Amino acid sequence: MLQTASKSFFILLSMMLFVSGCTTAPVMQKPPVESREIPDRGQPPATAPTVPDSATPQPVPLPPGEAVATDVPAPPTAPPPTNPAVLALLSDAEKYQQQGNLPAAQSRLQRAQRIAPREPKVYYQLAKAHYELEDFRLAEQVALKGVSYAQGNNSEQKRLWLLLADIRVKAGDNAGAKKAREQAARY
Amino acid sequence: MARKKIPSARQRSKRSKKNRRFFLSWGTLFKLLLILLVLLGLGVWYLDTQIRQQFEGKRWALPAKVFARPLELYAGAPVSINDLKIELTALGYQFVDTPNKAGQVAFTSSSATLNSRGFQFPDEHEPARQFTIDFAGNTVSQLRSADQQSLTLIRLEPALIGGIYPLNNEDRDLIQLSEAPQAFIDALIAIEDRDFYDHFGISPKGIARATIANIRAGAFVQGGSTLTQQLIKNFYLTADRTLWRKMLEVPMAMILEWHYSKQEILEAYLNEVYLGQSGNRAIHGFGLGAAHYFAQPLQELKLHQLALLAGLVKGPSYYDPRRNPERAKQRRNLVLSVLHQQGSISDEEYLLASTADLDVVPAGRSMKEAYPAYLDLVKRQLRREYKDEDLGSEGLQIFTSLDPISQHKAENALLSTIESLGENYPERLKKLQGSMIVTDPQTGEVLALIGDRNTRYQGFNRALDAKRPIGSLVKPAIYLTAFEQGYSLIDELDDSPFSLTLPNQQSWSPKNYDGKAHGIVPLHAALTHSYNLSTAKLGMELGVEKVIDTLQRLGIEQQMQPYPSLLLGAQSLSPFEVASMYQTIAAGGFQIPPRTIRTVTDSAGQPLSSYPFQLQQSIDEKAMFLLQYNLQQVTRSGTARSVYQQLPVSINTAGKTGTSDQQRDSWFAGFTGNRLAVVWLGLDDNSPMPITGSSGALRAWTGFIAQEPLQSYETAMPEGVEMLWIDPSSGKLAGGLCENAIQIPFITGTQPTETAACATPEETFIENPIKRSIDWVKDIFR
Repeated sequence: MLQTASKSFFILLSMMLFVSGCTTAPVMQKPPVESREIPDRGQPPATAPTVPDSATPQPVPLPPGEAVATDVPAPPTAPPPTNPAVLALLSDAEKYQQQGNLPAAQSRLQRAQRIAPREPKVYYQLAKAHYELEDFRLAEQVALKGVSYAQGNNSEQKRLWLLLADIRVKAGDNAGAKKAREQAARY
Repeated sequence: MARKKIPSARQRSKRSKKNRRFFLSWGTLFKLLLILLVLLGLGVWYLDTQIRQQFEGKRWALPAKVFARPLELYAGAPVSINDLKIELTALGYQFVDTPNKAGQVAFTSSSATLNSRGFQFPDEHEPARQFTIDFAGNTVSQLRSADQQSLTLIRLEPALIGGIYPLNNEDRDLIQLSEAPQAFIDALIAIEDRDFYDHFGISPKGIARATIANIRAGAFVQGGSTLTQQLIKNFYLTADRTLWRKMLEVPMAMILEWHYSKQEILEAYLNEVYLGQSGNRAIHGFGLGAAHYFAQPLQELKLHQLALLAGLVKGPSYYDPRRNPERAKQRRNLVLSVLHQQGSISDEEYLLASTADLDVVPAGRSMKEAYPAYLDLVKRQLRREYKDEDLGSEGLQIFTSLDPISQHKAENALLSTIESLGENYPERLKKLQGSMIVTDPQTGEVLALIGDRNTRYQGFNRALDAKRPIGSLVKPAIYLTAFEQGYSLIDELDDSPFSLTLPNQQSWSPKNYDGKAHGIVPLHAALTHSYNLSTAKLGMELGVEKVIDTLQRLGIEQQMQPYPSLLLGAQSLSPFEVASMYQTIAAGGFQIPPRTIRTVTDSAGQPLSSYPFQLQQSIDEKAMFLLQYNLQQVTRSGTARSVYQQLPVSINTAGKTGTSDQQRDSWFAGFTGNRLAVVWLGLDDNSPMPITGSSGALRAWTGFIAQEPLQSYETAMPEGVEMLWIDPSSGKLAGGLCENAIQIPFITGTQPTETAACATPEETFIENPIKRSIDWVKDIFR
């Protein structure tokens, strides 16, 4: 009797394990991967999506002025590799930017954005281009969008917040610049 | 001279003799000649300036050309082999075994080798080249050049999707003489003007030959007009064929020949000639003629096609290959036999070409008329900056974000849904209409637009102009307002009947779709299952004005009246406006206005204006994260859960169904990681329908998304939000022993502080991943 019960419990458990393996998390925390394999249409995904590791500590925003440099907000996950096509466009854009040909740089960056709209590097350079064109409002917005895509990527976070500090200084928002510098210091 | 008596005939003759003698005196003759010469000189001078002005100035009002987005190819590009076929069909590529000319492609089961045509983009030139694309599943795995070098990035040429025409509706696509194949020039000259290279504008030989031919045939079979005369006729003279016009034609032709080379005249002729009609658009020039009849550039046409085009000049309507295929074939073969007789083509070429089919693409397949709704949107956006006359005459090039692959799939999905609903309800939904808009949620670019079930219909554009009540599509704005005011996803709402006396003394008592009240429900469930009672109550608590403010921050520009009925979607919006609203949700609180135009250049390709990526954060990202979570619940377990009958569970989607009062409108607005689509279904006479948002619009949405490259909707959790396990029965934090615990995001400060009684501190739930996934499964299947 006990044996059958434990047996059926075991079967039930393994079935549940199996089923749960096929499901996914309601909210994924891992950063999106541009070059992810796209499962065949209509087929269940070949590899079971991971269950969210909800236990990872979330950063608690600190009251202004209480930023601690040692507080690293996100676990050090390796950022996804950037598609070579995007890297090529970004390096072209960089080249044009240095030559002062901002329209040419812009068009490369927009191509890069269409290919990889979640790549923080694209937003960093795009924001920088607007900064150089002295369109500080747009520069700030683009950089903030970049920040939202750079969760879990400490070096990009730092770079973007430092750029935001520069943008805000130029735009005359010194308090905002100070906050941005504090954010940058956390990464 | 005035005599009262009428002179007799003799007298008259006498006097005229006398007069003639008088006029013929040398001095007078000289004066007369001088006057005549001066008059003639003035006439010739006048004609000459007229001719030169027009010939050397801007000869034609050039329509603006509107292009689709170019397809970007690179390793990892989400393009399947089928997608490529759709794109290349739109570009008029020929599917062959071994590609050796531009515009040809060969497919294997997992690769494609093609010879691209190259294109002068505003930013740089993309060369024409041969390369191979390898596919793995639904993505590009590799690009190789002809010598097996790996290639990083290639842009295909963009499809020409329409034009903006001058007032006379003349459409043309200019070509240079060098772009016309020699075989074509041979054919044209052989059939229209054999002595073209030898005559001086008019051809006495040609007239004689035509006269003889006409006498022999006993009918008018041949004209004696030279190409130069024909050009003059079309170019300078009006359509009415008076004697005066006819008389002017000859000296003008001679003046034209005097000033310009045969090459220049021929090139002008190639671009001027009238070749047919497409609706109210007049097809001019062989560049456009090739596209109109064969959907290919002139350079890529084969001999039998070139001969047909040359033959069409004589009577584009009489020899119309679509309406009169037999006549057209005879005419084509006449052209071929003339070429054969004069030795321009070999026996073999003649035999092959004269037995070939006409190979004309069916009418109504032209890419230029395929996207009227999208083009309408492009024109509206252009008119903010450009004058109509410039758009129709300056030859502007307009680069848009239209994605022919997405558009094709959207049309398939919408039409098949409309058709199958029409079959299910043959009486009530016979005239079902629909519209749809697709954008890239990350960039805001509009990829596809449909304004009518007849997608080529150039009339009422429902995607932009049909403003209809949005029903429950409004609810996210209410919940967003709540999250911004400190509500959490598990706060309790009261889903029970109530009634409200409106300022006009009418009483308002909303009902749930199923007619039931659900009592106390957690906030997230009220949105997931689209409960009306609890939502309306919440909206009243928050204030209708506050909800309107949120709608405006989401991107709705029009004025809205703060009536309570707005909370249940009485507000009318167009699908385009709904897309702007959901775009802001998908983009995490950044308003990104939907845009269609990337760049506008002049006719030489110099950029005139470009439209950079614009955005403005207007909603707090933490509140938005909670809404995104909740809208994912709608597709996971709520009113839109049927999407997972077609989509793999690994793909996160988010969205909201909408059904207006008495089911007059069926809506769905939703997004994945790379596509946002809004679908509206309804009847033009606004009658109630037997379908809801779920059973109507959602089907088209899912059908579309399932065909697209799938990308899961994933957003990083913003700082200030935390995920916690919650015991749903108590609404407290869940411990390890709590069954059915669910994971819910909270804005820090709004989370429960107490732990449910089922928890034990030793065995925290978080450390038990197996149970966690089991519970997650249960949550899905609940």
